[in-house]
Amino acid sequence: MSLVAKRYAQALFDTAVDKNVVDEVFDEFSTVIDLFKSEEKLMNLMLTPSINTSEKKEILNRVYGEESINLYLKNFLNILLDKNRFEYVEEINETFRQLVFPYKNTVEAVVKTAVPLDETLRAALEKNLEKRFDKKVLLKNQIDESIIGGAVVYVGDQIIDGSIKNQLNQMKTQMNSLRL
Amino acid sequence: METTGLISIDARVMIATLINFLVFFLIIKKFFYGAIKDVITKRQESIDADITGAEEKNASAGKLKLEYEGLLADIKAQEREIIRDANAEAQAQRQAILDKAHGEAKAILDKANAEIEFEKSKAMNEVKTNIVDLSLFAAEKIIHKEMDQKQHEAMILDFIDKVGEAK
Repeated sequence: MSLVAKRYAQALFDTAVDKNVVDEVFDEFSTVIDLFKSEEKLMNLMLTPSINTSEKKEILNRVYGEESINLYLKNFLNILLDKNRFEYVEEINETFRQLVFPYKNTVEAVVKTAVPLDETLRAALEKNLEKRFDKKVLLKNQIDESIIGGAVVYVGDQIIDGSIKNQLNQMKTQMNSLRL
Repeated sequence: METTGLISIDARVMIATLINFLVFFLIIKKFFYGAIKDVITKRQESIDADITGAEEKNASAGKLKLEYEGLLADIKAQEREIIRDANAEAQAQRQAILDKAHGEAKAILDKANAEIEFEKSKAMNEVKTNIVDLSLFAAEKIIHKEMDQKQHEAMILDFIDKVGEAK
């Protein structure tokens, strides 16, 4: 994480906490970032030096569309444009998330499955993880066929491995440790 | 003069002869007895000395003989001891050489046996590892192929339950 990203993220976080809009800013910032990630051209546009700042702000406004975006977040993104720091926006978002998670007693978790997890199962797993870690869990699903079946959960530096791959590996270790 | 036989006894002649003899004897005694006696005494002493010397020599020879016999016995005893020691040492050396050779042979044999055992177990384990790898590879492929959506969901549900149970 660069110092610039840290400084901006901290400023946004402090403001959001101060104005009691952490959840709103967190969600909307994530949505905006997802959009930029999926629309590479849009991001390139924002970083093009030949387009002036006010035009970029106009583009951003059109991106938000009818949905009103949180004023503080909107101002924050405009400041990034003014200060020519828009290239750090993704990094700032990531740092911001890392500040928000402990604040909201939240952790990010990833569950790897061989087949896509339907929403019911994902929510059930999220609920059980919340019970287990006594924290709010933001669970994302990743497809990884190499685990064959079952699921592997990554929470921070912890791994809960309930995959067939893991069971097979354990079996393999046991069989290999048998002396002939 | 009276005629006599070839042998006759004339008292005067006899007396004269006797006197003659006595005179002669006295003269001899007077002048030669001491010398003769000296010679005899000296001779006697010399013989006595010779006898004593011989006896002494004999005695010392006997002593020497005993001494030498003693020395000889000592030498023989020493000789025997040396031979015994040498024998014992040779025996010990022989035993040591034999022991060492046996030990070395045993070590070589043991090492060879251990190596054979190690190689055998290594080969067995390699085979085992290959079998295990192949079996699990096959198992993986079969499971991957055979699992349907329902089974996937069942496994995930099971996992979700376990996550909920264990805290």
